[in-house]
Amino acid sequence: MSDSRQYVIIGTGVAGISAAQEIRAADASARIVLIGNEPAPFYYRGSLSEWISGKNTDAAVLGRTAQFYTDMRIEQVSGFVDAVEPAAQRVHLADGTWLPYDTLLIATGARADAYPVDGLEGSLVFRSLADARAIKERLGEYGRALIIGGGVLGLELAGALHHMKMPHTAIVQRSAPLGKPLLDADAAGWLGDRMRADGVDLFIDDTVTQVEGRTAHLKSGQTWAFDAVIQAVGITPVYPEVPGIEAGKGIRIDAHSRTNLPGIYAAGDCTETRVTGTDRWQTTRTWLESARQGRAAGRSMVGLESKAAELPFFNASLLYTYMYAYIGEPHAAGGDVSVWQQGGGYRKLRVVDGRLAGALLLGNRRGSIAMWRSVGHDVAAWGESIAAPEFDWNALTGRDWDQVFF
Amino acid sequence: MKWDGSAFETSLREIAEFGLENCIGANDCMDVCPVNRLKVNQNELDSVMASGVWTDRVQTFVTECIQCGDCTLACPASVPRDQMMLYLKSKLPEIPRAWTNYYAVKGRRDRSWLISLVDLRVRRALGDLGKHVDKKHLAQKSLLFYFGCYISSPAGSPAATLALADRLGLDYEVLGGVRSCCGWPQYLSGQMGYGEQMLLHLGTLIDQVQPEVIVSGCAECYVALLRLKKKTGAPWTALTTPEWLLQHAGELHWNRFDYPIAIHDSCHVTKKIGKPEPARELLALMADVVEIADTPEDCVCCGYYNLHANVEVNHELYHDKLSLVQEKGARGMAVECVTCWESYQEAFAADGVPLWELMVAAEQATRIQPERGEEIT
Repeated sequence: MSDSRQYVIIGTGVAGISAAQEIRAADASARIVLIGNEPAPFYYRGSLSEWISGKNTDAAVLGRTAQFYTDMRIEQVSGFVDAVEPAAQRVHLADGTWLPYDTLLIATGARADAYPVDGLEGSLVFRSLADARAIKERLGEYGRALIIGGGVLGLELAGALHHMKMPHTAIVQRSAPLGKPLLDADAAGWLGDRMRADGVDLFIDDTVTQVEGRTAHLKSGQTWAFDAVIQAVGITPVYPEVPGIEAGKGIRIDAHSRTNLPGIYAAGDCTETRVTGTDRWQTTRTWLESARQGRAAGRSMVGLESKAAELPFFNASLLYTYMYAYIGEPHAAGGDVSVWQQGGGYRKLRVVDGRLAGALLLGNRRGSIAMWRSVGHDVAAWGESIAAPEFDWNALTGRDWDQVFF
Repeated sequence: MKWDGSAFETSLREIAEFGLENCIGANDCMDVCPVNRLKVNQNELDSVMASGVWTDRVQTFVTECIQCGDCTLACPASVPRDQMMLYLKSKLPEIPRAWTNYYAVKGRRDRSWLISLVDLRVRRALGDLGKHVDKKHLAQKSLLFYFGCYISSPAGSPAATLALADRLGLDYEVLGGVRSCCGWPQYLSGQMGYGEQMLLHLGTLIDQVQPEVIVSGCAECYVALLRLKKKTGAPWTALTTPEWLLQHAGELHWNRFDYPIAIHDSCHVTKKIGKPEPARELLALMADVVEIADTPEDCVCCGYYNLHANVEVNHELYHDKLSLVQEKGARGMAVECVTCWESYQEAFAADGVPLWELMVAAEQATRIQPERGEEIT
């Protein structure tokens, strides 16, 4: 490796940091420049709800320690990159400076969407640390929170407010079911019952049509008084202007995180990837995907084998106050479905032609990682017993995904 | 002892990488950790994992990790933090100093003379049980009691277990002593290759007995047996002592303790294996069972590893447990794992609260058998 090679990474999220780690592991002499336009370095978006609820501290939200950047010799540059000149191999920062690169990674993430609502200008969104600070300030100690959007983010936020013992929370979800697309109608019913029991008002198949003062008017004719409205209705990829780069909703990348332009890679929420075996493209949706794309990008950038193993979809986090794991395709049409329900647990597994196709685990996630690695395995012999938490997925795969030791 | 580059390492590394990728920074893992006295954040661990540059804080924390699994159960993102900790243990820059005495003896075949000296003392101290300590000849039996190093535990559970087996008229073999160490202490201190070697040596000893069932009253030995079975495809079945005794419960008359007894769950048996029931069922035969946690999985670990390595780490844990037991109205506590007993015994004894290892309790509860009309000694 040349000691003068300069790797520039735009974006300090999980994709950017994962790439930087791979580059440093492979190239001790490389110059790594990480450009970010947020006030904090790499932090965990997934734990912002816990930060809002006060459970998590400022220090714990940060993804890496200050010492890490020193140890890894990662130079941090604060600034907003508004353009890239591939021909000249340099990026332009909004303050007017240019920064040259030998290899570039664009990992600029996404911005939060917001529906236009009459009378509601400047509603809060839930995406960044700055958003989280604003939400916390607006709600105060006993605020009434109206959350527009009952997807993953909206439910996560509702869970945080429940932990804060906020007595009044409502969710308005444009179309059923609650928790779409993670939940189907059955699972949404399971979760909805529990949320209502906790005092959360749910307005499903409804929208906020107008806001007067601090009162929201819904399409259904109902009204709801609030202290803060928070929109959690999705994200849109953002990236700087790059002449000649192929993009749809996001920058298009292959399994190596390569764009169509030599020397330029992309990873994370600003990208989209081709759906295997189709001409369709889909935007990157999860933290794990972003991290894996970042690692692939880092390896590609230093010339190592980088194609990440093709794995089924996996995501695990909190829906309201319940841990969930979403694996493969649990809700697609066809196949046989087994459901296990007990106490605080709901597990739905879908089997197609005798092979595991997907699973949704809510409340009880035992075996989730091994189950993820078992998608595509023949499970026909075990019938509906596979939905029970005690099923031994490690034995099925012959690997130790859930417990390495035994 | 050098790491042997086995599939174990590959599995650990892969799962650790997944954990690093999927960590969302909730920090719940660290919040629930019973031994996080330094208040380490998960980003400190992840930074060390990603950079390979150790800090004193992380080294201490990784050393003190007891593998209870609370962290993994608490993680909203399914990150197997306990496995990541095992991986970090395998990368510890040095063997924790507090373990050097332990290493000086346990399982060190290259220090056979030292073990022989220790064995001599242990045999004398154990009386009749002493004949089983690192004995040279093992008979073929279908039932094997595996006591490993805890044959000399002050808990007295090996003697109680054998007394129960004799009362039931069972034929068995016994494997105990430091030469048959399961390797778990070595794994815990990061000496993975050493641990693997110990475990495989244990396998050769078990092969001499050719058992159908192996019974252990130590949760760490029990999970090590499960690992050995998985690695070697051995035909025997491993049982915890409560599982084994429940199979014979109908053959004994059970006298009841006249006070309620709390149940403490072993992390390995309850949280990792998912078997909280046998200990409860057994205790229920002889006492009113008092639950001290919302669910068995919420039971806080005894911190046993640090019993050997860092005694001071655990004092708070012991006294919290003691207070909880008294608060819940129990007048004693039962444990199914001998190391849990060893952890708590000093604190409980100081307060005069009975602490029962389940085999010892069962042996006492079944001493008076009506058909015999007298107490069996």
